[in-house]
Amino acid sequence: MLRKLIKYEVKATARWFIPLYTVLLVFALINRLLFYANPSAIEETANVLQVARTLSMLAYVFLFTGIMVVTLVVVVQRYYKGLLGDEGYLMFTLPVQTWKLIMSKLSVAMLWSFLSAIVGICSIMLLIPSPDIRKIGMFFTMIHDFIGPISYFSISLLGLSVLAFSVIEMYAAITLGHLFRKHKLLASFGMYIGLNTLSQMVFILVMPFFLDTIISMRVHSVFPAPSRSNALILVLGITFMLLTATFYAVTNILLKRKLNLE
Amino acid sequence: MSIILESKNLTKTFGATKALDNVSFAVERGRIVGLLGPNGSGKSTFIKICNELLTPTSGEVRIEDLNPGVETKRIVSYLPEKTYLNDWMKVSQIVGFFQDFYTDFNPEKAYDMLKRLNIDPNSRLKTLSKGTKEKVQLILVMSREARLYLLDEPIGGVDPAARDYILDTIIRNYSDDASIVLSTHLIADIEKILDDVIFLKKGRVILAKTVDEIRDEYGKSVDALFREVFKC
Repeated sequence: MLRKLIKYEVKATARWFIPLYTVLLVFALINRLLFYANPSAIEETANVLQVARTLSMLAYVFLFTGIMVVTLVVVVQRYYKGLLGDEGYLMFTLPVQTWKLIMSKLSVAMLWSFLSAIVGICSIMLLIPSPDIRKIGMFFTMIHDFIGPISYFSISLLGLSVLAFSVIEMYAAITLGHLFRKHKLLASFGMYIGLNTLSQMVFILVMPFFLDTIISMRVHSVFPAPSRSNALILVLGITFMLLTATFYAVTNILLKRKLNLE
Repeated sequence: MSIILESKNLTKTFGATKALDNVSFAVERGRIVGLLGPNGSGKSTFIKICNELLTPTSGEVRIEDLNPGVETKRIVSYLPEKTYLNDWMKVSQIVGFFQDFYTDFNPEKAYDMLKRLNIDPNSRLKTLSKGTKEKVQLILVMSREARLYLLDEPIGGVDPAARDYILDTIIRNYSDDASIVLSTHLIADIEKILDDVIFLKKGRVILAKTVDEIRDEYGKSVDALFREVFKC
């Protein structure tokens, strides 16, 4: 059942993202081509080219920010409208456990957030003229050199848990806000701030164990030993995972025991 | 006769208002029950609690002796008073959706009814009129071979010409041991198909009898009795 839920969630959201991704990549390519176009000797054509460059760059920047905004809006809307709005009447009467409904929304939201970031990076790489690409290559080698000793496992765990955490934090806030009879939207915002503060307090509790690592990095600009950085990243990842699990459980219990679709 | 749905001292409050006040009654297998009452009498609230869309304040609902949950949703076919159809699917896709999630869903039945009501399976849900959307929802709900149908205002937004076909569809599409609970205030139209009636007034059950008993005891139709009981 979870697989089917995810299938429909992907179908419902792909119609937003696929066209946007395509258009963004196309505009990145257009910008690149215009960049390489040889300004003609005739002044007028040169001017036209300049205008075209500016316009296509503006369109690209607009699309780039647009995709980031759309990703956020779709993640929130699919949860709020799809479960707590009218569509909730359909979803909550399916013979499916509530945790699967949340999981389908969460996993697809994570997928699109990840893809939006990847497509964004790809579009920037498309924009950059080839000589500079080599510099980017060097940048990646640096990252590799840095991460290599730390282990890709910890980094991936941290990335995944941060992604899951940022989505489920919104779901939990919306669900808590929905418990209010009036001003649900305002209440959701308030809850989000509350949950965020709570999460930060958890990190404040964890941080003292790594005080030496942080101080050596920030104050003395000394790179900590790989094993030490690895431990820090791993602990951060696990903390985000635990927070995600807590918010997931809270959301699940509220949707199961306190649901009131009016 | 065995009981399929039982409401035990069910109470639901919204803030200070009591939408349901200590409601108790039982629905037997194979019966068509009309849940009748004016607007705001608690009909929808009751049906939503049966579908786990609302949480009761106190008391409980038992369906096949289970509290509402995944197991009861398998055997209950629910028509809400709202349109829950999303705007991106085609009619044929929502039929596929129901087929995917409900094992008791019969797609042939659905396509047959769509054809009878002249609804094109290839049209997008977004483009349908409100009335047509309601018809599509009813078709989806009645194409399931469920044990209990909970229909909230099934003919409310449908034109009188289609009403007869829909009532006929409801009667034809349920098996003898299945039960139907339907809420409405359009009693005259629906009276002829009902076995039992429950009158709800301000969240309380004020009458629960079979249609035959009402005719024998009061010497009048359910519609006439309703108008008398709920006179403003």
